[in-house]
Amino acid sequence: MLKKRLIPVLLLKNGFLVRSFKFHRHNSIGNPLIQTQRYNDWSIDELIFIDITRDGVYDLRRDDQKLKGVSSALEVLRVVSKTCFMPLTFGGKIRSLEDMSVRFENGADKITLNTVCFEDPGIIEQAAKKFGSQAIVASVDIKKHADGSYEVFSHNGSRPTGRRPVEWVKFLESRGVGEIFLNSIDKDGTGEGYDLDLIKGVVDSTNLPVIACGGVGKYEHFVEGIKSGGASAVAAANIFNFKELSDRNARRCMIDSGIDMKPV
Amino acid sequence: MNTAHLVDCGLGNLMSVANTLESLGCDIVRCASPAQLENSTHIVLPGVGAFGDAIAKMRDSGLDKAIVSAVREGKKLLGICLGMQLLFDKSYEYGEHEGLHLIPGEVRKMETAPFNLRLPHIGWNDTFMLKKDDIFEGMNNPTCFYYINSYSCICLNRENILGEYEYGEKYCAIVRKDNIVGVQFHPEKSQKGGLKLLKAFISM
Repeated sequence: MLKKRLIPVLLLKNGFLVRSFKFHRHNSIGNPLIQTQRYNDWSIDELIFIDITRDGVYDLRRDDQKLKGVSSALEVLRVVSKTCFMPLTFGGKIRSLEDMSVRFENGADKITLNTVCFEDPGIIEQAAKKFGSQAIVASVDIKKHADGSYEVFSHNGSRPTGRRPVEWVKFLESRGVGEIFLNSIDKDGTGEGYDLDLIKGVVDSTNLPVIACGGVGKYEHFVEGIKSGGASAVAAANIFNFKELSDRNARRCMIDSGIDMKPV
Repeated sequence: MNTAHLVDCGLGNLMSVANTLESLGCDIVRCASPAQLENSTHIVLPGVGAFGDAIAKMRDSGLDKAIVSAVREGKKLLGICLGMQLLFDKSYEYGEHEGLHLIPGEVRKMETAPFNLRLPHIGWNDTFMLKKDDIFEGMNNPTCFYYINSYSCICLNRENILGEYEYGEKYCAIVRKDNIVGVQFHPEKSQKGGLKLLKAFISM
């Protein structure tokens, strides 16, 4: 049967790999090419790159790492796709069909859309028709309010949209999106574990595969995301950057818990 | 090493397929017109996207007829994902579309509702090899390959089916008819197993 997926997320800012905390604090942690080379040992199911650069400045050239400098997130994608024979998803700052074409031409297999779905909802259907639903992932960022209700945020988690997660995901599904990448802004970078109520609520309301993200601090959190949240795939960023052999050990932990995974 | 001719109808992840074949030491020729297929020995028809658009684009450029006659001359053809589906007679994806009629059968949406399964079918799935074939050179049975599809091929002749995957029901994963091979998964995204399969194809 179909395996559950474990997905490292690489956040790129100005060409650097960064760690993120609640979507607003970003610390640079190095060269993304070095990191992705580590993933090329075949134990990873898929990779997601999100470009969160805001000022359009890229600079990897000062980084002397035996690798040729790259000047943009797209170049990171292009270099990675030459050596990583696994599915690559690329997101961030995509506003037009042309933006999407460029990502695919540079080696992306799937792209994520977020803010543009609010600004220009018609583009979702056009994208699904042009590239196929399977290539269009909707990234959905959620904040939990003090009263326990959830709201979807756009613009890198900075702008409230008035939309409820379940209603928004149903809308995205009806427009032809092929997969949901669900992020909890409150849990981002905390290591407290996924927001399981949020994940379960969204998973139960859609027929699309859901990738859970935000909050993983230990391997058991991945298990919860699948078993309690019902996610088809579990994603994280920080844990993969700061723990040795985290990809393999996380996978072993999930397999030991009885989850059907691609072997280590 | 051989040269692989990649059919380019302006669709899909051509770049991924090219990168993977290049890593195997293969020279790549991108073919957007029938004339470019003339000196080919191994043709790869990659594809992501919708069946109707793809076949329309192939007809416009004449690549459909060129591929069919290349196969008649004995050239090897590998269809990947949508490229495999295009080999069949007909697809019911957003309407009804005629395919290349190279392998008898049709393409239908996967029946997942009775099994409470999600669509698209995305991720790594065990692929069971039903018989011995040189395309499986050096592979374990089953092997995990990466899939991303909502439609799947229904092969009319059982003897054309080399491999199956399961998602509620059993579906056709690999077909072969003489010099034509089709795979529903993405070997170019399936790490070691995928590289082995592509290598076996270009060595055919």
